Amino acid sequence: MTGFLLRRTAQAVVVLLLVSLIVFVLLQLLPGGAARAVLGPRATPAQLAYFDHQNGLDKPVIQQYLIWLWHLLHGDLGYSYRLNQSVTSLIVERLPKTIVLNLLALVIAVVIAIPVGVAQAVRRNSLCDYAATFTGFVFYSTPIFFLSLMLVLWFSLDLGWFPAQAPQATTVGGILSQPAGLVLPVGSLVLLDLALFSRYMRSATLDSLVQDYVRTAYAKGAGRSRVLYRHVLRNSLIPMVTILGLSLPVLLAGSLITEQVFNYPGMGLLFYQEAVTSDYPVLLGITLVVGAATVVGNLLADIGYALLDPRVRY
Amino acid sequence: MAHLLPSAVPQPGAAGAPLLEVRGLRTDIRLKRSTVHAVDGVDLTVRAGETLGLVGESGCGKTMTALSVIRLLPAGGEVVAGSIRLDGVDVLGLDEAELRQVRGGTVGMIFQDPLTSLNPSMTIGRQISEAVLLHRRVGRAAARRRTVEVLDLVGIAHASRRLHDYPHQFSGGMRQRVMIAIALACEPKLLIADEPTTALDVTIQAQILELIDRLRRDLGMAVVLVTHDLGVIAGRADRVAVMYAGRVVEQATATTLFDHPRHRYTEALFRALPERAVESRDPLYTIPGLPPDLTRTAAECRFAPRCRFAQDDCRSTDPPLVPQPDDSEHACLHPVDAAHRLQVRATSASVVALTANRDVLVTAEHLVKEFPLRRHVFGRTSGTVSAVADVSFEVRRGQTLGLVGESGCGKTTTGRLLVGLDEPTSGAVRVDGWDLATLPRRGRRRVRRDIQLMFQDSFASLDPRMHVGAILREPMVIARLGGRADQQRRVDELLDVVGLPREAARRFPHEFSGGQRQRIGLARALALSPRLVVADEPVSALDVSIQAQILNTMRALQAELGLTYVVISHDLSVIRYLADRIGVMYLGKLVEEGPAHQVYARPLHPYTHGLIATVPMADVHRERAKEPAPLRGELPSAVDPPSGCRFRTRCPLAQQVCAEQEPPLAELVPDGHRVACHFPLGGTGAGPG
Repeated sequence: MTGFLLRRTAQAVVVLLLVSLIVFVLLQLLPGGAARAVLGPRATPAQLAYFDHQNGLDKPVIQQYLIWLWHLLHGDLGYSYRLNQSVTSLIVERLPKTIVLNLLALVIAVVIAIPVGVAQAVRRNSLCDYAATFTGFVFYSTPIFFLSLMLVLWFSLDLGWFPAQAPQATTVGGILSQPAGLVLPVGSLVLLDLALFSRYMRSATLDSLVQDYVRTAYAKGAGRSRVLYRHVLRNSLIPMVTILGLSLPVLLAGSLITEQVFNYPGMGLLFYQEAVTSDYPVLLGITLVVGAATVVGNLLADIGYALLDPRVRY
Repeated sequence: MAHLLPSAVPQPGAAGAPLLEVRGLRTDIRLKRSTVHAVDGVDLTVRAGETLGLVGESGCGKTMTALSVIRLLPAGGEVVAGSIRLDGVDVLGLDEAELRQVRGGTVGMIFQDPLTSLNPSMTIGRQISEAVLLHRRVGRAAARRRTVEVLDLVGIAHASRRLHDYPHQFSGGMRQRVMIAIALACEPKLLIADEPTTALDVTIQAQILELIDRLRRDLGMAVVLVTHDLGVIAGRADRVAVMYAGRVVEQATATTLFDHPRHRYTEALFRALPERAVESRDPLYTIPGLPPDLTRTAAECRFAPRCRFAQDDCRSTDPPLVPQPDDSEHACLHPVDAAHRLQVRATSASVVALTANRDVLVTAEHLVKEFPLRRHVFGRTSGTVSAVADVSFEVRRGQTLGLVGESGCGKTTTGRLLVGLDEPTSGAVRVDGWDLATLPRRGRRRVRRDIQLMFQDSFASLDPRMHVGAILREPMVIARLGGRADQQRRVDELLDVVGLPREAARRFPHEFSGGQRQRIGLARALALSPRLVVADEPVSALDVSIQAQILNTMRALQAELGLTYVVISHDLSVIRYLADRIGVMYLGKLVEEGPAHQVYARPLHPYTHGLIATVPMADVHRERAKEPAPLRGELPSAVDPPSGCRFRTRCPLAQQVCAEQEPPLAELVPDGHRVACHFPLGGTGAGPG
């Protein structure tokens, strides 16, 4: 296991270097450039040149990348062109909020989806199964911005139950102290995940239910619920691990659309705003975090397999 | 009620009160559009301490009958009529909770495939103790003690240390022992074994059957042994019930049934076994047609459409099971008697000449195939699997070489090397003296056309989205042979040759039965008019009656087209029936090779001897007289094979020299019979005292 972790970490470093290089080059190819975006349409060419020189943007791309990398090695992700704040501090400030929002949504979705999926599989092709499938697909196929706006329209504007805007507090504690404001953003994310997760759980459970070992368990004299909890559930959770591992990047990157619709001060909103203004250092920093999250998510999924499935050993 | 007294262990075969009485059992399986009458009026009686063999071909309802006893039917399955009395209890009247007491309590159950029948993510200790905890009011510690006890009972060494192991850490045979331990955990009165050894190798099969037999005697259980294999039944069952199309058609003691089968179906089944025709080399008897569709039932004998002796009354009355004076019963209006025995028409196929001095077509020269074992993408190789280790043999034109051995012995890999699907690590395959590896590209393509492969699983090896015509044409398209019209003509020809209607070309593989699909596989192998056909387990997925048709066709085509075969099989009787020469493989080595009749009648290698002695035959007297499983233990790993002779770890004759020196494959006397053994049996070498 130790050797496996070491190898995977080495792989992760390579992957992250490649990702950052690709993003770096792509950003350079964008038309307009950072100077124009930061200084505005009325800046003179001399001002633009000065900005580029000051930020090292007049150097060759590879040299710029190496400089960025050198700073990264010293824990310095650079300085936002627009926000007058170091990228590190921006991420430190935004990341926990994004994690809170998405983790809440993920946990709620999983907690609901697993029993729903199992129940659907057990009562396959019943009315409940069809109803759950239909509802899930309705939410899954609705664009999230539309879903979010509908939620705002009904629950905030019409009924007035919850505020239309997410809590704006600067700390995580502050955000959690206004749970009413979290209901709609979390709710819209849950509705989306729910359909996907319950679908996975349903098909995984259906696969397990027809396995020979389930028949063996019945032949031992085990009852329905015992067979379900002791024999089916654990084996059905294995495929779920993949989808949870793939969800980790979202957990850290935030959801662009939801955060924007509800004006939630997380990573997604930050990324959107800085992308509009070509704030390269921030974009690069966030990309790096998301890349790392993807790699770690996959690693966690692999470790999850080993925990759930004794046949998997590294 | 003798069985209520703890001390009264019923005597095997004693005519005590019946433990299980099934009367008029009817089990339906509801499908979307129709209902299959899987079991249609079955009567069975099993007494304590007795083994009842339930035998029949696939789809005859034997498994559904067994599952009905504990009402463990698949989705849509339901017992619709009849009664099942088990140990004085009406099983069909039980509610869910009472039924759970029967399952695993009164009745233990073993299934076919021990790998899929055990929960992969649960330790075997917990899987066994679960059964104990479900039926006995005991604590965890007591359940654990009982678990160790039953594991000891089924012959798992160091039981207490293996409780925390998972199923994948056991070999196939050991897994089946674990399954048996689960079934026995609560001392059932009845053990139902549904094809308990079908997924296992013959040597392991013998060990498992012996174990079940010993446990039955020691524990005084009754056993219902469900199987398609008449050989398995012959050695183990006291009574046998033969099933056909949802009915029991004949029931008798094993001796009576095997010596004097009365029902025409039973008779036909025996006549279709290749082992019965080995001496005569006659074509096998084949049962024409297919079993009836069980969604419809008519008032006729269900076997009548396939029966050579059917008369008008067979087609108008449904014959009941009639008890006979000798305690047997059968449902046949015109049973077997001395005057009307089944005769097999002798055809030209039976006169395959056994000439030894034909010229050599294919030579395998010191074939070696090793597969590297890699742990991960970047890793170095952490060892090699030695699949084929220095195998040499010749195949003469128009003859059949049979390669036999247990799974993992390298016979399939050898076949793949012959056809050129794999490149040998070293050594060479020569066709007509040409080395395949050194031929230029075009020449190699030509030579490869001469060697074709016929696969085991005809369903998986035919593309489900291509119609049969396209499947048969594909080899010609690839070889750019002839125009479209020529190819079309050839397809018709091929279908004629293997005995399928020409319309078959326009249909898809799933529309055919297993036997017909295997014919398509054979036709495809013949498409390029090869000289050598390598047939890998050509009949192992088929029922006996269908298997006979394929074997006959293969033999007839050999005579007609002058084909050369290399037949690969785990089934000695199939090899024996088809082959002129037999090669016996063990763990990558060819340990014995020679003329079929010699290898079979006078095996020189202890492994061959053990293998022949182990294979169950449909002959009660031979099976009953048999020594207990002569081959102990299991196949060692091919990653780190034993030094010297690879068989020495399981060999009863092994000496020091066997570990030190590898015996070469050589003739003892110049008779073309080679063996690789330091102490060949009955040979002229330095045999053991």
